[in-house]
Amino acid sequence: MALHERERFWRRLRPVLLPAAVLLCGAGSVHMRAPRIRVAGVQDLTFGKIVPGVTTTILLTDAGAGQYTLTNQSARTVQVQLVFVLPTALALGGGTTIPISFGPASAGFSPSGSLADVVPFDPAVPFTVTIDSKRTARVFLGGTLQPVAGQPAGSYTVPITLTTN
Amino acid sequence: MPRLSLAVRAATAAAAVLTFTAAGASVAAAQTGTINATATVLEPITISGTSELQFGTVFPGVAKTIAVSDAGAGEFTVGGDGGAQVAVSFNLPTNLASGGNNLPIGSWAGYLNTTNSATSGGSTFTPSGTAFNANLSGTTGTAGSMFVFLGATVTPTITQVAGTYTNTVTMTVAYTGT
Amino acid sequence: MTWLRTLSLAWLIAPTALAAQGVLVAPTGVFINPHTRGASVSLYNPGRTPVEVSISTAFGYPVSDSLGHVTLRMETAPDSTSRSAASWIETFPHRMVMQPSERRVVRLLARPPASLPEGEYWTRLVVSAKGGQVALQSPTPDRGIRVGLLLDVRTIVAVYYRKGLMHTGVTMTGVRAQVWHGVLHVCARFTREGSAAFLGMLHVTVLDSSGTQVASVQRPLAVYYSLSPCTTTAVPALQPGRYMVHLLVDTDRGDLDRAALLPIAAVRDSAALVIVPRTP
Repeated sequence: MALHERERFWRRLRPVLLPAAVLLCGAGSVHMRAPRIRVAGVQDLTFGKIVPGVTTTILLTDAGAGQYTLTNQSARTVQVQLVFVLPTALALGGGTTIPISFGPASAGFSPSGSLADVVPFDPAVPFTVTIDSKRTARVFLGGTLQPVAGQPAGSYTVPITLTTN
Repeated sequence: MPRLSLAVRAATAAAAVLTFTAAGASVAAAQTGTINATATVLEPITISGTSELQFGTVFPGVAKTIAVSDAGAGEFTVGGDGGAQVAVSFNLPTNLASGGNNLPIGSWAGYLNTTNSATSGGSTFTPSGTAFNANLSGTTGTAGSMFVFLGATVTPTITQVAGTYTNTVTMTVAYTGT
Repeated sequence: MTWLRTLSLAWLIAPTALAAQGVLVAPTGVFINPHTRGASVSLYNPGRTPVEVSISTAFGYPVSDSLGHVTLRMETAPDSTSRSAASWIETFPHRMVMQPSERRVVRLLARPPASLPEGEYWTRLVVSAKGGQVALQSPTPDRGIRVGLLLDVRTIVAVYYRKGLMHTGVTMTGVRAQVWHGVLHVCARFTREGSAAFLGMLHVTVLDSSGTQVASVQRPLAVYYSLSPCTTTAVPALQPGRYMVHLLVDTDRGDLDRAALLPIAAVRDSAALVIVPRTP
């Protein structure tokens, strides 16, 4: 290529390359936009007073069921995946625990936030849901406790986390 | 248009890709919410009858005794916190009644054990309205139990009238640790 | 004919039964204060037959006799100076029929007199469980001697009403220990201090002359006024020699709501124990 031809070529590319270079210098990180779904735990899963040796179950429709709200803050309908981090036991402290288990219908999703349209699902399996724009959906969670016959008395607790992806 | 060198073409392509990527990159962060599962375990005391007191065949004029170690002896189980002490007493009838007719019952016998045996490892007692102490097996924080065996004698007369004779036996267990 | 007459008198009774049933009551100690105004007790029928349950209250507290046995003193007509809450703690419901494996909750509601002084007041909750009529079997259902026994099982637990600031304590005196036929008897006199009944645990440990623990026993302790219990434990392996019996009283109770237990400084005492060789 002759020198005058190379100069003419780079002059043509300059309008494209210069902005690209500027963008590359400025775009050193990925931009995290504001979350479209806001998740909040609003009610504990409350088994109340239980007795040793007696299995106690809270259904997702019971007053003691745990509840999370999922609020779609965006202008569009959003599809998200619900993922629970499920514990295996409640703890008293000092190593004393009560096993907790969850069944295929222990959790429920309501797009309207009420039990009237709740859809049961297995909290152990990621569950994909759709939430309309500016709506607050609700997730309900029940479970089963199996205290042994000699279970020490006291207050037992464990956190349960719900994540949306 | 002069042919571009390989290096120039590669740099241009990379810049284009990166430019496109940088201008469109935004990711929604995963959101989490947390609740607690809670429960309060209450320490119970449980009394249950586990075996029936069976007199079997009863003939008029022939007294029939069921000993504490007999297969037909009555048995109760008391459960609760291991090592817990209870006060046990009985309200026992002296007669069973059928209309205006009485069938005497008495000679109540008892056997107390922390294992389910009416023959060894425990102690005899005479059931009455006077409470006696007993400790459940085990230690506090574990499940404890106690077994109570009952026997008695019915004494039908030779002219005992046929019928269904009934009465109530009351066993009271009071937890003395509170 | 004699054998026919004998046969005619031989009314047969098929197996007769003492109905089997019971109830689980929890907790064994219930605490109420002016803020909560009430509490609940859980009942559970672990049996396979329905039981009729009735609930009532009565004033009572643990006492001991000269042999160290602990029983409940129930007072049907406590005087006005007593700490009875029996007349103003109500239960709902009073009666119910519980099906097999059914769990029910009994509510307790306190309606104390407006002029009730500060302090702790007591009552006992009496839960009676009665099964249905026994099912009698007979080869001759229309005749014969049929024997049926109804079982009424009563469980008694404690209820406390606390008004105002509570504090408690206990003193321990007169500790003595002896071994009798392979059983260790440890006796002491406990006297309550403060405004509330003392609820705690008595720990007994036995050390030999080298300081090695050779026996131990624990028992819940409830001192309302004074109590002189004897705690026993089998010690068949203890050889003749000198031992020390150490007693410790604290509030380490796993069977009660820890938030309701009033703290104390641990109380300790000891007694020497000498086991002499048996004379042949």
